[in-house]
Amino acid sequence: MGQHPGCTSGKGLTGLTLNLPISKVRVINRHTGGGFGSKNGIKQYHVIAAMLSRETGRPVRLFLNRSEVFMVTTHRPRTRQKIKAGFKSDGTLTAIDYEEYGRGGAWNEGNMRWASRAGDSIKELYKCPNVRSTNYAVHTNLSSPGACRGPGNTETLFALEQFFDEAAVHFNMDPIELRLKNFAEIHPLTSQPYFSNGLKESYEKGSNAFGWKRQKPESVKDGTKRRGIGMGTVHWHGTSGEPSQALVTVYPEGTVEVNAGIADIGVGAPVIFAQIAAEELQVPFDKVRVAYGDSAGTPYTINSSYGSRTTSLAGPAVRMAAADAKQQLIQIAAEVLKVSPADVQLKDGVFITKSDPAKQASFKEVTGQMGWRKRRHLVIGKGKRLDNPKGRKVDIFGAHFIEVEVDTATGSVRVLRAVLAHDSGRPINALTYESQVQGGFLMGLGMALFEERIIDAETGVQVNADFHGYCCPTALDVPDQVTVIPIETHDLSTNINAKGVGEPPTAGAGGAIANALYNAIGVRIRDYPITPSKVLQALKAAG
Amino acid sequence: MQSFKWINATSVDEVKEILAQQGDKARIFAGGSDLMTMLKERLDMPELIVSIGNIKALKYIREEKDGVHIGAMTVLADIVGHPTLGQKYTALAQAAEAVGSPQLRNMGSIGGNLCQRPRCWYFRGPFICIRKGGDTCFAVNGENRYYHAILEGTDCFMVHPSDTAVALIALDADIIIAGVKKDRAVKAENFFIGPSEDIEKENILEPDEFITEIRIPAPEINTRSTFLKTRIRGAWNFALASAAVRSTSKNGVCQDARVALGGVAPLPLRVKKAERALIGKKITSDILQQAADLATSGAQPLTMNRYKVDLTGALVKKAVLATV
Repeated sequence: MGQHPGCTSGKGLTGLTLNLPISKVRVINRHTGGGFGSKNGIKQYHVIAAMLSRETGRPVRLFLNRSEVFMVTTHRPRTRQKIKAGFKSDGTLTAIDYEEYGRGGAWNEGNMRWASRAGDSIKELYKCPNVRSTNYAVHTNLSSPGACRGPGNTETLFALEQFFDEAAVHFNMDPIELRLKNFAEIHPLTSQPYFSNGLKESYEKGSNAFGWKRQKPESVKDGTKRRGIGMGTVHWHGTSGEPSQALVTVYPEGTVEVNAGIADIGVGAPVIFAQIAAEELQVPFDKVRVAYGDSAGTPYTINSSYGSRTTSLAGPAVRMAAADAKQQLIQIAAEVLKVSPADVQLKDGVFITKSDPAKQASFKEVTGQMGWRKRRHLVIGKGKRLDNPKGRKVDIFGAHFIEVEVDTATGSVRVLRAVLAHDSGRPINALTYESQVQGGFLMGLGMALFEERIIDAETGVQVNADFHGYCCPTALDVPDQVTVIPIETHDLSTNINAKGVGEPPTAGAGGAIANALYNAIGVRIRDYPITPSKVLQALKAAG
Repeated sequence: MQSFKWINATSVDEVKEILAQQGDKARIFAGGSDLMTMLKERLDMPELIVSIGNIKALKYIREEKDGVHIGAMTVLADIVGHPTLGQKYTALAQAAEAVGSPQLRNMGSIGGNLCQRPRCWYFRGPFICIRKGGDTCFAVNGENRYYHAILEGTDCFMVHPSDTAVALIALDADIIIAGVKKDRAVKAENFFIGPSEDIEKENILEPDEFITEIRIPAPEINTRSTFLKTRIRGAWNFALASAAVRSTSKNGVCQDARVALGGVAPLPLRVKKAERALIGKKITSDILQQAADLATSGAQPLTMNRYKVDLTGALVKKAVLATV
């Protein structure tokens, strides 16, 4: 079931379409590779498989090959964007007029909204008193658009960040300086302050690590090769509250189980939940097990893992459940220590009497009071995701710094190095955090330089619907140096202080790469993907 | 995929025997990396498949007095990894390395690489194109931005997918063919045929013939070769254009040169006009430009691939420079 754990909002994703109660439907989906939006939502083929199974009473395996994936799943829309903006002579933005046409499909079952998203960044990234955003979703005789990692902002930032780069050239300003000039201290649309904003720090730490010093275009030459550097801002919306529940059970031997209704789409969410529970209960990480990926035995935790929000939506519920369990353990500890519960605290994994710190009970001593032998119930903590505190805004920021090499004779582009500074609040797991940023960036690199669905205009047939024709980046396309710099902010929108990291690195990659390419060759290419053919054509047109 | 009979041949003679009886119905299966895709897409539905993958006698790289002999079943990875091939027959090692991905090079053989069917996306897709018995080439008015011809296209505008073919033409290789009636050897440049000669096949092999060996003459003194390929991404991509050059120089003067192009015509193309511009000349930027211009003279780009003219010229220049 793709990015869905199975049961949603009390309806039951599959039950809904088969008119079955949740009690009759069990969905097992522990791991799904390559979600990225196309596996979000229930599709016709899910229903067909479920119906076939019901009719035959046999298991049904549904398998889409590469060309079928292209044919029946959804895709990021092609867009045409136009940006016009007014600046004061010192580079201060006064107005943005944005127009976007997006390629929709032949029918609308709710997914035409993905065709022209006008990512939040147009209205919400820079301080600008006047913004108009006009969006057209255009029906075509092609398959439907859908969410694709960083929908909206990825398209918008490719245009907006190139636009800012051009403006910086116009004002003869450093691109970072122009962005700082228009930095939004408060959220431009709502005038609310942010819970946290690490954008300035992303610019600063990122540019320092990169060694940012931009020369005029075509300054760095070697034969037919040119090198250039570019940067771009990363922007993505944070998570607000929505219903999400988790359970934390503590067993007599002192081990902990988290129950969360999620599917792991490759981001390591179960690892993160275990860390959160371990931190709250002050137990070693390896004493925590996370049960997930099965609609039987887990509560409703998330409808689907989209929007870079599995951690920031479900994580707080896990922490609250662990905190609830901790409170119950303190009650038991108080009985063991023969003091009042208010006098007990859990510190470094040990229950300590505040008024007499010598009076202590170990974690296991307390959990050992539970169970059949001792005639005491197990501790089961319940947690839910609270709404974010009102009056503040949660947004995710970052900055990408890129160096590229372009062969002006062959049009080949190679990204040599990337410094990726990301403010995602508190990074909970350093390894998965870095992997997410690297992977997201690489996906953005693919979109910027290689990937496109090539459609035969006469028939609507995608002619490159295979692995070698549709060019995802290969190992040889990964830059030699990819440096991830976590910009840790203490975000108070939730009890885990994390904001989300899955989509922002994809959204930010393309603009920065295109800007570096401009700096290398002095010609701007505004059309994704920037293939050798487009580089050669642009160079020729420029003379 | 339609069902078929599979024979695991163990000798060249056995293959000949089978082909003598059932040549029309049979296909030779070497590494299978191309044939399998043809079968899966139901573009080819042979009744019989004869695997030569287990014929050990076809797997070798032997350096002899007259040059190097390479068995047709030698996989590309072995050519890439050979200790001396890369120094004496550089263009071939580079071309083999430019093929596909490590997985494909581990499976794909040099013989099979030369016998690939077209990779034109109309040929491979749900289109009854002229090469599949239809009456039109859909690329002419369709999507021809990457993998279609600027040279030698008539009726069909696909480009031959083989990288190693381009290098072997520049290296003046012979292709040794086993046949039921007789064995024969042809120059690599004469092995391939364009659509004007026969629109249904890409080389001269008859149904009862197959490649057994590639022979490359030993290079003269002061001879170097190179292969260059431009593609969209770093690996697992067919050429937008490629060029292979072998040249012999003395005191900066070109004594002999062979220039071949890939990714620009329905067959890998030797361009003698460009060679003549180089031979006997001191290689200056003017001479390079002349060779590049001549290599693509007469080009008739399609609606979206005019850039390939400049790209091909640039590759010729770079390749010549790399060998002098």
